[in-house]
Amino acid sequence: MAETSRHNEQQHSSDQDLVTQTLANKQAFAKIVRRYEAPLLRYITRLGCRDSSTAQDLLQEIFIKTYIHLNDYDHSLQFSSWIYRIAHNEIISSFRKEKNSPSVLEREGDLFLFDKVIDDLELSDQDGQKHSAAEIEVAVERLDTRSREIIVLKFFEEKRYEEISDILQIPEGTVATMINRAKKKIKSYLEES
Amino acid sequence: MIMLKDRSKSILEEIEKRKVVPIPRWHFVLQRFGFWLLAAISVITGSIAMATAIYVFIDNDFIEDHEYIHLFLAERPLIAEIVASIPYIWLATLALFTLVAYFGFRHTKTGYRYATTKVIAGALLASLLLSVGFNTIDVGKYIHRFLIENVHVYNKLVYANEHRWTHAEKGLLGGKVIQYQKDKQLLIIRDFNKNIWQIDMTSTEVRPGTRLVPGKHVKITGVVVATQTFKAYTIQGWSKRYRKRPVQVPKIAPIKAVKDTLVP
Repeated sequence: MAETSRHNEQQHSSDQDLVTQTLANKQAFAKIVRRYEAPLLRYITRLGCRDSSTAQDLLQEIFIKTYIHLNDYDHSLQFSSWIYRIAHNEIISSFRKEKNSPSVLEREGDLFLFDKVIDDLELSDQDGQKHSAAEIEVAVERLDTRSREIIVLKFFEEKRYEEISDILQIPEGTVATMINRAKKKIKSYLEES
Repeated sequence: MIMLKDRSKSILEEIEKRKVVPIPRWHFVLQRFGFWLLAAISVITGSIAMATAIYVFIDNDFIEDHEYIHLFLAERPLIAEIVASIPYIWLATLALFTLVAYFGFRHTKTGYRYATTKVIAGALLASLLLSVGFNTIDVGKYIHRFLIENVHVYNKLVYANEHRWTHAEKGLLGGKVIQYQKDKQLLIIRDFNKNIWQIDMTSTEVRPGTRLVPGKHVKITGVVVATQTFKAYTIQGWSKRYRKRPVQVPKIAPIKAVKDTLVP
């Protein structure tokens, strides 16, 4: 009973509350870790980190960096945008360090999300038939890192323009432009294929 | 679920092991303040650069004082004169500090939300408005004069009006009044190359509003008569005429005399 009540409390505490609690007692950080572990791990993988142990190490670094910078969190922002920003910077910096180019988005669990990309981008071939998820996957794989980041955040992480703007620290207008550019690239890759 | 619990535990253990603590809030406040300060200082510096650029350009005789324009235009056409007179160094300085202001603003808390073009346009506009304010108290003029008189390299970087008036051999001499001996009709000036000249004023037309007091700059036309001695034909102040035009007080007719004539 007590366990259930604690669980409910954790579910209902806002991110902001958890930040405040963590600053008073670091044990509360465990709740933040539990809340964001799965989405961040998914994000790391979607951005192209295939190696599981590297992804785990990255995740740990992201949480430690988050903990160190907790006082920098601006409560007017969504906490999720802020932690995704840290994650994004850490992932990109890790790719750069290891001169690692991100690999294919191939998680089986994400396949249904490619259908979402197809619907949203209104992608159909010359005969008016919808492109397959596999075709989109290849096209997304060919995108440059920046375009891929945008596509991942928009269609796979399902972030709003404002959130993407806060995560990537670029104006909303630029987010829209980059999404359009990425769409055009995907379309052109599909036409080529 | 077990895995999730393990991870939060392992992260807390890692935090413990590395002995990391949250960076204090004042650190971030100071950092943000630093970026705001950088942006503000850059806008102010940019506006000083713009104020100087405006002064250097407007001070040209082809804009402000057309009296001797034919002398300058004899050497090259007006368009070449205008192009040569653009103070590129100051415009480059303005561009540089506008970029620094953009960098500073971009790193403030919400600076990333604004489009690059808007931030740069805003910084330029702020610099322009401030520069107008600065020029009402002659900031551009003082900076330009200080550099032209004290920094040799600066002379090579701008083609200012002072250069046109540093040609005694062509009859054009400018500089700062050092001394004026009214009884001897003698003026002593220091030109922009720091040479001291004795100006013979025995047959000189001094333009209205010209103040021959130490520290004031003057433009002199005339001819070199001996080493460092110049016979002046005309002398006029360097100050902008559009701002410091002397007021001509109209002479009032002797009303009483007229009245006397009309009324017997």
